[in-house]
Amino acid sequence: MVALIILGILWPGSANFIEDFSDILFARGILITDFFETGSIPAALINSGLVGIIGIALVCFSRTTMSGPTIAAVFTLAGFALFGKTPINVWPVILGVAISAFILKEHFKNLLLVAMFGTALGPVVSLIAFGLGWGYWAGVSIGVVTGIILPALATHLLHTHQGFSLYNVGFTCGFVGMYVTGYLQMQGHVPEMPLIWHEGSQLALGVVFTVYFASMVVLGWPGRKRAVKLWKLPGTLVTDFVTEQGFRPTIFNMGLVGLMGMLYIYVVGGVYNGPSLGGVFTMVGFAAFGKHVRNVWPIMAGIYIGSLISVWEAVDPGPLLAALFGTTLAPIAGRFGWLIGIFAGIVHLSVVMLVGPFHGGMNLYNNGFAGGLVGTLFIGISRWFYGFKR
Amino acid sequence: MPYRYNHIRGIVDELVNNSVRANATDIDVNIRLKDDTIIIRVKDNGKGIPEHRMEEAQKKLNQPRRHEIEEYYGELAGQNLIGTGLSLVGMMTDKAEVKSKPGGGTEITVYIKG
Repeated sequence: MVALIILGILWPGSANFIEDFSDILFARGILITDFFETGSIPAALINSGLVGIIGIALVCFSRTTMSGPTIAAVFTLAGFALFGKTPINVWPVILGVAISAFILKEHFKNLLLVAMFGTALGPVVSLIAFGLGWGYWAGVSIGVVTGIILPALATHLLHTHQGFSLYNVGFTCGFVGMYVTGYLQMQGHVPEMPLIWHEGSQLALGVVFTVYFASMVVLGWPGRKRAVKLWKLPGTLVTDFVTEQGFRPTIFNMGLVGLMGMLYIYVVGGVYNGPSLGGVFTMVGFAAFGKHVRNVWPIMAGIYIGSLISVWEAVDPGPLLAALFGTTLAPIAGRFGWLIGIFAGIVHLSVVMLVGPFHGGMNLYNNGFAGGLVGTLFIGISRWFYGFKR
Repeated sequence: MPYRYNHIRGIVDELVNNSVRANATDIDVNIRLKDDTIIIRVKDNGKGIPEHRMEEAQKKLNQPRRHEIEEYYGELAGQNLIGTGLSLVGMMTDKAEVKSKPGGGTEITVYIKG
């Protein structure tokens, strides 16, 4: 996270940093708002580092161990801070989850992961505060309310896909975002989903982030033999790679998965920008908590094949992000094999291109929402034909 | 009991799943509260844990209790398609004892402080 801030400071063109950072802080942030374009690359990188540090601070202050799930949460926070999360729109949801814990007389650390992942609803705060002009505290209030109900729904919805979609809070936030969007429509506000998509600085971004992930491979190199053991796991929730094999094999796997994401973008001719790099960051984070090189490729391949047999191109924003974030379904490939994984990828593409308007882009984890629905479909069928006989 | 009923049920389900996978035909489940600790014991006559996997089973069951996992992901305990089994049980309990002989069944006892 510190590296991101340093990178932002050193990146050329940071002369208007204050103005650019301000543009990011007060952006609506709903899908897809690329902070490289809304502000600038340096401002977005620093925003990403700051939001990631907020995540690390939460882990430290709640005295929780830094392990697979918390690493996933920190990288997800930082990744989505390239296109939606800011220091001022994440805290109301976190506060809401803390209030939920207080009501239940639980320690906040027990709901820490829901709080961190729940920041996917940051755009609810930003849209209401800055987009609709209802004022910052109106946005904060609604953000807090969404945070209060989030743990209950997240726990409940886990049962539907039984841990076969890794972004369960994203699935949950899709529902919450849908209710908020419904309410706003009742008030005559139909949120428009923008497409703010940066396309410049490709070589620099490609090289810098490839080196970033390659350095993780180098750092984890001594643990490469134990990383192979991770690749034999299906990766369903809850598979903490740090607990399974330790830090070095996990970091090795994280770096490799990151490079796979970068390579996919390059091969299909996509662009390196806030959302796509956010996708790679999320893949990297969850490579400590379920994703590995053997269970992500079938999903990515399925989404690519899906784009070949559909009206969309693999290079379009939706399918490109689907290939990266759609790896939420990696456990399906891990458990049922690569062929079913490819099929899940194709189905995922069809669903993810549909569901965005349901939550008006206010759930940043759009693929988490779609992945939860696809996971529910596959697990429902599997349980009927396979689970009942066990 | 000073603990969530559905979490106890999930832990029992995981341990019973483990016994069923070991082809057990006789499974004995005992749950009791002693002071502020819940003790769950599942004993079976299955094929037992192979010697080379015993250390791994001990390690999974005796990892530090993980409150951040337990409260939220604990709901997944007992879901038979998941198969994270003993690892998830280890994250939800304070201590575990494993007795097993290849071909001679397995007895797993877990302790959960309230």
